[in-house]
Amino acid sequence: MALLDVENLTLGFYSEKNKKWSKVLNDVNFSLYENEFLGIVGESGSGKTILANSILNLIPKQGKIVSGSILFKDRDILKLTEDQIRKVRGKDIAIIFQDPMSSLHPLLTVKDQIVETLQAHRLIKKSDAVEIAMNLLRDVKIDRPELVLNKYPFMLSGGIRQRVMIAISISCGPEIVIADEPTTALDVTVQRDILALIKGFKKNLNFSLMLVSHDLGVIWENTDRVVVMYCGRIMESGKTEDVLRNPLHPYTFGLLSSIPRKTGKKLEILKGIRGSIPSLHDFPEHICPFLPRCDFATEKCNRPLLLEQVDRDRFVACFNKGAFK
Amino acid sequence: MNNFNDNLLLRAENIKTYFPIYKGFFIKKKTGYTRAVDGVSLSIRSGETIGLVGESGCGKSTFARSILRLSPITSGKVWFQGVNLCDMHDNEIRKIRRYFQIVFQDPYSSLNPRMTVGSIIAEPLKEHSIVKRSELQGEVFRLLDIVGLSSQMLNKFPHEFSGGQRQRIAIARALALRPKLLVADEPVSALDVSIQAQILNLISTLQKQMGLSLLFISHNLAVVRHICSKVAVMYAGKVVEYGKTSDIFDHPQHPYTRTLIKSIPVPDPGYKNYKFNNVEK
Repeated sequence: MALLDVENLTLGFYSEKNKKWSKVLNDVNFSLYENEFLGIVGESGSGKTILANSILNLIPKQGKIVSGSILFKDRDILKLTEDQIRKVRGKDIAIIFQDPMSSLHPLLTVKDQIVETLQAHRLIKKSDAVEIAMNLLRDVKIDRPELVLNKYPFMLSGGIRQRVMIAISISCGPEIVIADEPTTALDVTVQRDILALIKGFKKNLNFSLMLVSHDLGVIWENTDRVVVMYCGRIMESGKTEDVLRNPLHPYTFGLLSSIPRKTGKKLEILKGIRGSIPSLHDFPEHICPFLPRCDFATEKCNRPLLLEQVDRDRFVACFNKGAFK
Repeated sequence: MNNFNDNLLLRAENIKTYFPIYKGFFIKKKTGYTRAVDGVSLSIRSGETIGLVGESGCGKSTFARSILRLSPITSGKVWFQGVNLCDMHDNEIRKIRRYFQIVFQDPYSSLNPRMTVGSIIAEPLKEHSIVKRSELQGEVFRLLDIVGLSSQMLNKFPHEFSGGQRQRIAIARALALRPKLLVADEPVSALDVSIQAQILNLISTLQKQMGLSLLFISHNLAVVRHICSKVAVMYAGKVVEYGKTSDIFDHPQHPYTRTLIKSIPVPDPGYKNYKFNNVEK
């Protein structure tokens, strides 16, 4: 039973300059199951973050849902009123943003920010909330939480800030946590601690995690299933092991071959992907969006792309699946 | 110096870069020093690729800037082809700087937004009188070509380019002076993985073609392993481990190096030797 169902989601963005609508998300379909870690991977500009934000109905002004639905417990999130969605945000679905500097309130202490979230969703006294906040900070492995509680975000390091973000996100016992590039701004050693922390909570708190990242290594080590996105479309999805070990889409293959790896010979040329991702208003509409950068394209590819099921829980959008093998 | 000094390009001896800490509002008092770089020595031979790795704040960039005399050095000596850079006057430094060029991390802030690509690349050529005025345009075209940009881009401004393209422009500008040493300060960390691969390919091809020495600074160990023949690991202003790339990665001695290697997430061990030897999923 899926916890969250995203069905045929298409999101349009209007550009004043070009006077036209472009699809920033194009027919996106996926499900998030209970107690599952799902990865969303792709280059910057492929629509990962906008997908994560639209699950909380945090769509910017120039955006408009063209079609589709996001079903959470049989309710369509996109049809909820502002008051109703506010009860879901932070309580049932929580989000950890990429940059902990700009996502924490700079003028409020850590205590105020955690207590605010707790009191918004639970009927508790402030003194109780402070007590809970202290325990939460202890849970995210901050030494001497009583000191951190009264500090402002600018006084804390990036790693500690991200721990505070995690504490806020799990404070109301969410069912889904969306982590949007939670470790991109951090050093590798801090990244490892933060990811270990999130993984540790999975065991005790039983939430599902949607991990947005551009780092295939992070995805491989932390997720059960993965969705590969490009130009607002799903290119490939399936079990992380299957997708990364046996990629069927040339884009996934290209991403994997862009990563330097150990070989016998020194200094081999990385295969990678040529060109770069087009800007939003140049997304190809009626052909495979990856066609201009694909080394394995044929005439077949010159038509609208469809996401096809190739196996149980394995979807690929390519006319030449695995042609590169 | 030893017998091998004939191909020694740069030697940094015991470099220390301290930044003073001031306290007080009206009357500033020096209360101490931040030891950004604390006694680092490094030799670079011609044609060698050396990687400098460590976490942010460990002093990698400050060290690179110090040996190029872009940051003031507190103590220590830098020998570049037998000349001591530390004793040099600013005017002399400016002249000799054509032999060591730098590519910065953030291509969004290292290019002048009000200059066209053509003038960005032509500026060092004019400044150092590398080519005759009549050959200037041809040289700029040649440089654009070797970094894989088309000559139609000559009159565009940096904001019209993507991050990868901007980094190519920065590389063209650095190579314009035909340097002997190229310092690349986190050149790919702001880029997507696919673009990162393109830039890495470009740097390593050019390094081989032009016989450049390369000091490659990065926090990404996989990238350093790919491109460098020797690696220095820095921590808190000091080099904690230095050696051949294969030795460092296969048999790290210092606990910090081990932690660093263990922390890198690596995609799929089954995917042909993807994995670093000593990392367990």
